[in-house]
Amino acid sequence: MTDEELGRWFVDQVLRVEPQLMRFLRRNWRESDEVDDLRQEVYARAFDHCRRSLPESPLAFVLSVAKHLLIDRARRKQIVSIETYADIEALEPTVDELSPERHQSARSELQLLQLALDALPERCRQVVALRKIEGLSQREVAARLGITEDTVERQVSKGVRALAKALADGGTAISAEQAQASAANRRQL
Amino acid sequence: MTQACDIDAQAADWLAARDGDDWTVARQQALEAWLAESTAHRVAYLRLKAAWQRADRLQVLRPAQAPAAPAVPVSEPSSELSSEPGRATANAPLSARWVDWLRNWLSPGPVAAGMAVMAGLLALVVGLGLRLDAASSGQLHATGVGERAVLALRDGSRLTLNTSTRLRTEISADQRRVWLDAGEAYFEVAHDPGRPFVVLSGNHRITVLGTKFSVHRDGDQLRVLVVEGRVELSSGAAAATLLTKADNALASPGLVRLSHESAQGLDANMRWLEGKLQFDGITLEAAARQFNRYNQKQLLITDAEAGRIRIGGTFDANNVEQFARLLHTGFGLNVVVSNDVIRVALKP
Repeated sequence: MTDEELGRWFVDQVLRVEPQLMRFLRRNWRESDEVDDLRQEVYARAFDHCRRSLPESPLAFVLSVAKHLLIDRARRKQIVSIETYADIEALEPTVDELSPERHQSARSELQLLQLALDALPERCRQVVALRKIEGLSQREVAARLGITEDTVERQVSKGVRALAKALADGGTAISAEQAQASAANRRQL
Repeated sequence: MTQACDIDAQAADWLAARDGDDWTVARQQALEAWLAESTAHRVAYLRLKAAWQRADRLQVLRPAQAPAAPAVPVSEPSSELSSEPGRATANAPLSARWVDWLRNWLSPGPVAAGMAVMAGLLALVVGLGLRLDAASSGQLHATGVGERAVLALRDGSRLTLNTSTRLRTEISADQRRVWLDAGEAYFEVAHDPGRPFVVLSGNHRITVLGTKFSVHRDGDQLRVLVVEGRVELSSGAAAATLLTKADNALASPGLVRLSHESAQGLDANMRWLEGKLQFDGITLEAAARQFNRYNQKQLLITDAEAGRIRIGGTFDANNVEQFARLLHTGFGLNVVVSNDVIRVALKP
């Protein structure tokens, strides 16, 4: 399989479960500002693994990669208390994380996108809306708004990151908070 | 800045450049080199690219007579439009913001853009604005490709929207109206003789008292299938046609063709309510058209002979890949899957 074919497979099968992965990472890792790093590392490991062989169940596979990464990281930190360690050994995905439909149906993709679009800063939102709703090219967007193509490009760069984040977090922001709270509770037990 | 953040930023810059209009071979090579540098680069880019593609779904929010081309005549509002007050989608959770946005953007904004373009756009927005103020109860509901949604109306009626559907509803004290702008919907209308329920679509009109029926709009053609009770269908100036249970009417401007469905035929036609497509010996060509309504990934039958193969069975409407595999394993057809299209032919 070429990298390009693998890339398409990866997008279809692995990136699709990003909401579940993010939920898993947030539930099991205290430092929330490290979660994006972890996500990227999980994907890099997963991709390299997929070059050798494709997993049967992408979701179970991604969560297993995540689990091993968390164990590695916790070991490296060398500040692992006995209770954290016990916690990490028990890192099994919950039923909740293994059922993609439950959360994806909560909000339609269109609503997620619309919410993400609305949350963008004004200029960025104008650019993304003209590009994606009106279907204008970057050049046409620049002409319409009376700004340079470079500015449009910068706003697209900003917008795409925000959209990707919103799609991954979408509809799960609340459950992520709840998950963190419940993870904290478990640790106190 | 964390490492992930840094790589994400670079990937986003690449994607934005790739999305622009000045993409060159040299830049493509530079991108490929950057991707090859590390798997982290590659996956970050893939992830953002997938999100950017998913955002294409936002195009369903484009207003019906959108100013995609600046060639909107200034005296645009036609009689059809003005009889459809909800067109401006006033309370709509989705596109109202878009309309607001257009207004905001137009009022104080940097109106340095070409005035010719602006004229067309302004005409549109003024038109929208007027209708917006005239009737604020038309509410927009839309589904994207492959989506299905159930809508409970104030009067107790229930609507099920099929894939790629856009409709507006207006329920008031003395009337109930739905404009089907595109797509397909199943209506379970609460009985209320004092308040007729009217479905408007192009120049077709369906009037009901309380019943269950399905309507599919395809351009200016309208298919109406009655599951229970009776409805009255009128198209343009033609006399109204009374449809009863299992009647299947295909209305084009000025002509209504009527057929009667068997009990099984009726069932088969309504399987989309469960996300299924049921085919009873229809051609592969026709089956592909059905699948293509539900999936971004389009099924393309590349030779006429393959298109005439007869297909029967029940399939998941959203799982075109599964159907394509079946064509390969079951019919020995040559199936080539690429990013957004599945090509099917008799021979390689």
